[in-house]
Amino acid sequence: MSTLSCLPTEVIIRLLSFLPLKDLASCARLSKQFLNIIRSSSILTYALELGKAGLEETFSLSFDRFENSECNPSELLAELLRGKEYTNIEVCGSVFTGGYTRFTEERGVNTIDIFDFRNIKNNEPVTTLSFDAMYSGYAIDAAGQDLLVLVGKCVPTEYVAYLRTGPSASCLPNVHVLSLFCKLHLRSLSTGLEYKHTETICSGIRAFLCTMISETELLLVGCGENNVPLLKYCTINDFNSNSSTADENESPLQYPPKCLNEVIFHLPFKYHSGSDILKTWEAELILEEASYTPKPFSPFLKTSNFVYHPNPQIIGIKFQNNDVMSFMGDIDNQTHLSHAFDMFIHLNSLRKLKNKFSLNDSRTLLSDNTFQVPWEKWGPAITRVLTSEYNSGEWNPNRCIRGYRVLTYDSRLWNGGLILDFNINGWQSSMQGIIRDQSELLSCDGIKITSSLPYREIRMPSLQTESELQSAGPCSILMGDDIVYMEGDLPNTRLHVFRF
Amino acid sequence: MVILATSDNEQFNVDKEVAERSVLIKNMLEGENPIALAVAFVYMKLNGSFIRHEDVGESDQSIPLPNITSPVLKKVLEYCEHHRGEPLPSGDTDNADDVRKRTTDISEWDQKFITVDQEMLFEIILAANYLDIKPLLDVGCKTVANMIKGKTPEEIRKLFNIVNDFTPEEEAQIKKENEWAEDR
Repeated sequence: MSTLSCLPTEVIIRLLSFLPLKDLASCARLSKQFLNIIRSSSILTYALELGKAGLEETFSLSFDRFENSECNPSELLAELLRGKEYTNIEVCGSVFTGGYTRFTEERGVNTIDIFDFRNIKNNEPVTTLSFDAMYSGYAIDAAGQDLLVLVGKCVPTEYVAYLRTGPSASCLPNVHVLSLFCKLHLRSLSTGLEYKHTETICSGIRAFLCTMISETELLLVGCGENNVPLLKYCTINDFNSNSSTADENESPLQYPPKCLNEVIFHLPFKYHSGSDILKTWEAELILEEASYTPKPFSPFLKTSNFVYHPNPQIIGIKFQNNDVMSFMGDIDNQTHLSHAFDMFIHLNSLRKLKNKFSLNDSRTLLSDNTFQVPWEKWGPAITRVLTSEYNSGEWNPNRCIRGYRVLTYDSRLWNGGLILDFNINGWQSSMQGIIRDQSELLSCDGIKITSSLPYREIRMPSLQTESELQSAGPCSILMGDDIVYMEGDLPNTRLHVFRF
Repeated sequence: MVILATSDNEQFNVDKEVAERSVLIKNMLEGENPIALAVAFVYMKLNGSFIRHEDVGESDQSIPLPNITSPVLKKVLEYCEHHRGEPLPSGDTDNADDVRKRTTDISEWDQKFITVDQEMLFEIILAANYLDIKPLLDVGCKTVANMIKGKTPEEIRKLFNIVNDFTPEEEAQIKKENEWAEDR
């Protein structure tokens, strides 16, 4: 007798994915089998976690039109892109945006077209936004919710707009625009509405990186006064619920949402640059490697075949100076010289710190809701910075973030790798645990693990000289938590697998 | 024509176009899946049911479907026949499996088609999964999802004969964890 329990796990997951949260929660209570199946699916688990946190899902990854197989997604996109010269394209859930970063007669200085896959008529965008200044790019939050963040970094004012396109398709034509951090002058070409907001809401930071780390959390990296490097973390409440009374023709900015609990964290280095820091410094998220599962369909497959973790534990940021080839910083009482470095931050600790500092009376109050936290008070406990190994020439290490573990490996420039183990509370300083001894390694020739550093280091002594380094070539890869490393030329190749 | 042989040794002559609604069969016919072909071949050998057709048709292979009984295949072919000629979902969408869906709407014909008893429903789902007919699999999954919707855990268990194997402590714990859902 065939019944529900007889179905293969992947079919049950598919089936459960059609259920609203409430019913999904009921299914988690059916039996151990169903509980385990739900827990084995990161998407379903994530959905339940959202529910537990009192949040609604936004079903962002549902391309209804694609799923109903009415048309081929790549054809649909080709159709959308025909005759358009976008310089910047992002796809997130059912929202597709194409941006122009240059001046066109009819469109103004900078425009972004927003399409909704659920609602495409005559291939016209549902909304077109136009900025009166350059923007450097925009990002869609990694959790795949229908949120957009736009960052501009032109002198003299930086613009950051926060747009909510929302799961309820009805709100999409009237994209809510929210200026959180700075002056904004934005207009919507399709509706003719102008969004003006000139009040400066405690900027405090000129950002060159802006990202959503969850539906309600925003992370900015940039500099403050006197070019002090800063990281800003803030939570955003759901302004959508308050704006229901808003007249459709009025700018939603007349109901400004509250940006709750902004906290500014100082970073432990200086920007050394004669020219404009916002032009010479860059920060990018180390997201490509923050992988956990094969990437769902995306018409614009990037280099990675993986999707961003919907709920990351560790966030990695790569800082790079494009102009000056040196960076001086004081990290963990050691002076480093580098033009690029990685910083890994423990997110839950950042959240806890934010609560602590925003509740604590001894804080340094900048404005109504912004607090500054010096590096010593937060950094060493919850972050790791990788610099010294990366100071020579071009550098492109493999980096992999899995849960609380960061694995970096670079065979060509630097013959080894690093493992950074965080734990649930932050930086795991005890150094005990996962690499127990060399017996864990499936195959190795005298691999050396150094534990005197603030991170563990792997070196492969078989490649010491210059010629050996060259002959090694690009033959090592990160596969999940393993480093697979190939030695020697064919046919005498040996494969080493280093497992952690 | 393609010949499909079910587990109860019944044979179905099917238009190639109809049979190719199944990605599994499509790949087998195109030889894209040598493993599936090899497995099928070995199976035919073992079963002694190797069939060779001398007449030159679109295909001279008989494809054994050891997991599927004839009543189920008949039903599945009814679906394939009705939806013949519609574009197949692109292979890319396969990757979107692990994604939360929002709609459980089923078209009128499909709705009528899937109005079967529970056993047949699950057999169809299993067959659609095996044959890799995504639209049919989704019709089945949506139907079961609709049956689950709005029911209490106890009602769902009763409906699908699911044994509650939680200890009372575990059940209390899991109930507590999911309390938030009760008043939504």
